Amino acid sequence: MNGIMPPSFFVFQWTPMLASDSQYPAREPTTLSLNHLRDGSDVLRGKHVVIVEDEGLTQLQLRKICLLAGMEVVGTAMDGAQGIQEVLQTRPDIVLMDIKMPILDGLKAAARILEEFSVCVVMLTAYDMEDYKAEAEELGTCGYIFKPVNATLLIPQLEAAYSQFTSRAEAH
Amino acid sequence: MQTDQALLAAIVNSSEDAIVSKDLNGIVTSWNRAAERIYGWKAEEIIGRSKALVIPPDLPDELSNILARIRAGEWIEHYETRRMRKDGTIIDVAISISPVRDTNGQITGAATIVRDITERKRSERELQQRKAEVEMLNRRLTRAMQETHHRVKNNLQIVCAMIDMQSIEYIQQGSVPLAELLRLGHHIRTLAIVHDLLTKSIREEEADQRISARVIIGQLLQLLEQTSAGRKIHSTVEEVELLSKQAVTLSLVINELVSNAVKHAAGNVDVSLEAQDGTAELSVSDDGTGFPPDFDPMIQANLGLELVLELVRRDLQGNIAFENKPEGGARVRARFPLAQSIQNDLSVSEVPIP
Repeated sequence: MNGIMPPSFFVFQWTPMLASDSQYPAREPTTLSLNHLRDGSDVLRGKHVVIVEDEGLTQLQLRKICLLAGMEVVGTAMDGAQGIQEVLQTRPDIVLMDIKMPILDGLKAAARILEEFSVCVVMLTAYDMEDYKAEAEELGTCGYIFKPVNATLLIPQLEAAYSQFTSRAEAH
Repeated sequence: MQTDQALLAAIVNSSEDAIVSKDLNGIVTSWNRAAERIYGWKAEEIIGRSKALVIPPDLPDELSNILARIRAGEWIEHYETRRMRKDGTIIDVAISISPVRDTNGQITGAATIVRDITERKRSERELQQRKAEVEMLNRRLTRAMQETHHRVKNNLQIVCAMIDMQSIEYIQQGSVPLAELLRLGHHIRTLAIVHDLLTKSIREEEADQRISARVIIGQLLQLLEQTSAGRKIHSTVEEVELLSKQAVTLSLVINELVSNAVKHAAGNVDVSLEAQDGTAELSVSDDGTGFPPDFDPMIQANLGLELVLELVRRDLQGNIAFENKPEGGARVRARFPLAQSIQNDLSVSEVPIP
């Protein structure tokens, strides 16, 4: 924290949890405050997002975070199967995808979506298992974020994931 | 010479293991006392008859195979197999067979030493069974621990989401009102109660676990009464089994609605839960002035009510009504299906793609 941060309730330190050899974005530790997020995010503003999350309360939180960042929530789903339909119908820029869900899990749903079209899929999960992370990476998702999350954590990670997605797309 | 033979006979007869001999056709030529005990055949009953008498019917080729190996001059050491007693009982044995040669070195038959290992085999099977049981228990315990771990992580996510949403709500002010923090505290205690009750009878699969609505609401209301400044909370709760996820959601909903009723209305608060035809109805009412005539929860909802709407519609897959009682006072009713189980693992190919 460098010892000079204001003693604010909103201040968090963000430390990337991803290995440096990963294709996922690796960033230097960043300290952010919600105050910086009042104006939304330049990277994410106007981007369309679909949120696939079976926990109502978490979904509400994710919607609020995406709105705060200036994104437009074009669809939500409570399970993987519904998520696939929603994403293929709305063709968003970003998909936020939980892993443990009824009917169809998020990894299978992400695989199905990425077979159809190239989109920035960010996995969001309570599973801290390396196997799932490796599988998600293999599928071509752009980020793997561990729950619990909050706005100060999620927005920079989404920014990094989306920037990485666009640079990857440009490289192709 | 005779003394030597008598000595050998004494040794053979006092052996704990059966020692028998047969010719190359499998005809028994000698049979000691231990063989009589192990097989139940007396020497005079079996000498001159085929050794096939003690081979179980499901091992028809065993005698001929052994005889073929003996003819080839082979020794068979510690071969574990089964044999049949005179009374038909099958026993486990370990046998060693060696060819018997005459003075010219010609193989004329075989000498067999047989040890009854039925008891040892039984212990081994028991041990194997125990090991399998322990391994199964261990797997179940591991899954139950993973489930608990996931549930704890989920609760932390819920707590984090509630704090985060309050932060976003008050981002302009730069701080969150004390009352909202106290409300968060209530929610965290609610999660703790549900977690306690669920952990008492943890199962490996979250979807399997059911919990009594009466127990959970009873404990929750006890907690809420402690902070209701002397206001009474009456409850009538039918005995309904809730899935663990429903229990968490319903508790958060009741916590929010009861806290609201205590905060905004005078008099007592009534909580009821009824069930009919697989549908449950939760009702939370108070004796206050009721909702204003133009009340629209979608427009006027604060974060607490928004949370209630979200939880009832999405997590409970139900609907909710805000109304005033004819006799006065507000009432919120939430109806939701009592799910039988959580559907899982639908193959991706079954998902219709637009």
